[in-house]
Amino acid sequence: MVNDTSPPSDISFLGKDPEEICQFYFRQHWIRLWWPLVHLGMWSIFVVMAVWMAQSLPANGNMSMRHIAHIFIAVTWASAHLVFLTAIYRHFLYIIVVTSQRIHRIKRTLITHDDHQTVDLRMLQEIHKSQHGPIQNIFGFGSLTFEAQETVLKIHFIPGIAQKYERILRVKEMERTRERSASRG
Amino acid sequence: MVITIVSIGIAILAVEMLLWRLFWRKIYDMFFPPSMDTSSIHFFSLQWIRGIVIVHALMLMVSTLFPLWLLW
Repeated sequence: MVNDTSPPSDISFLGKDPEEICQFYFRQHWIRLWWPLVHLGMWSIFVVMAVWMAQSLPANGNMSMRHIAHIFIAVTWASAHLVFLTAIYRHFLYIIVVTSQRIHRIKRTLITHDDHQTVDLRMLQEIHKSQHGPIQNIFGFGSLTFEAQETVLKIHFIPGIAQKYERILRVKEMERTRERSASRG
Repeated sequence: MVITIVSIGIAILAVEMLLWRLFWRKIYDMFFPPSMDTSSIHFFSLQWIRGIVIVHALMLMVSTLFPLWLLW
């Protein structure tokens, strides 16, 4: 997020152990922004129609009503765009980080939420990959469910889910091999 | 008319700045290099995003206030 040339092990964030080495991170698929974009489009169409209707009303001398209508339309237009900007910020505040030992799901909103859930790769018992429906299969996103003893971590809208699934399995295997050789040595 | 347009412009600017400050407050402590980003949309740097937000604020102000002035 900032231009950082530090080696992966130097990357730190709240909740990361010093021994963890960051492997990769990702956010949810861009399709999460599709509905906010559709809402923005619908509100824009509403604004255009409202302007057209306001202009087609006869100007019978009641200019203050016309001005109020114009102000309302302007505020609606600006609000729709600011709400879409908020949706973009929220998209960028939802990050999943995979390290050599854990998977971190960091979910924040601008004001109300600040969640951080982790699951230990060494304790993982099952990983479920699911892609349901034509949209998910065409755009290559889906859900992963990580089960570790009593912890269940579900992550939805994962982009490139097939590659992510394989990479996570590889990281898990690498860590298990490393631990085995460390315990022998 | 001028007071109305200036007030709306200031309000838009204030909300944009407030949203940016809230976003910055939440994201400043999550530093990850772009080379490790495997997302579908890449987030290159905070400076890049800040530039885009400034352009967005200016374009929003122009697209809101200019038609309002024309229609007044």
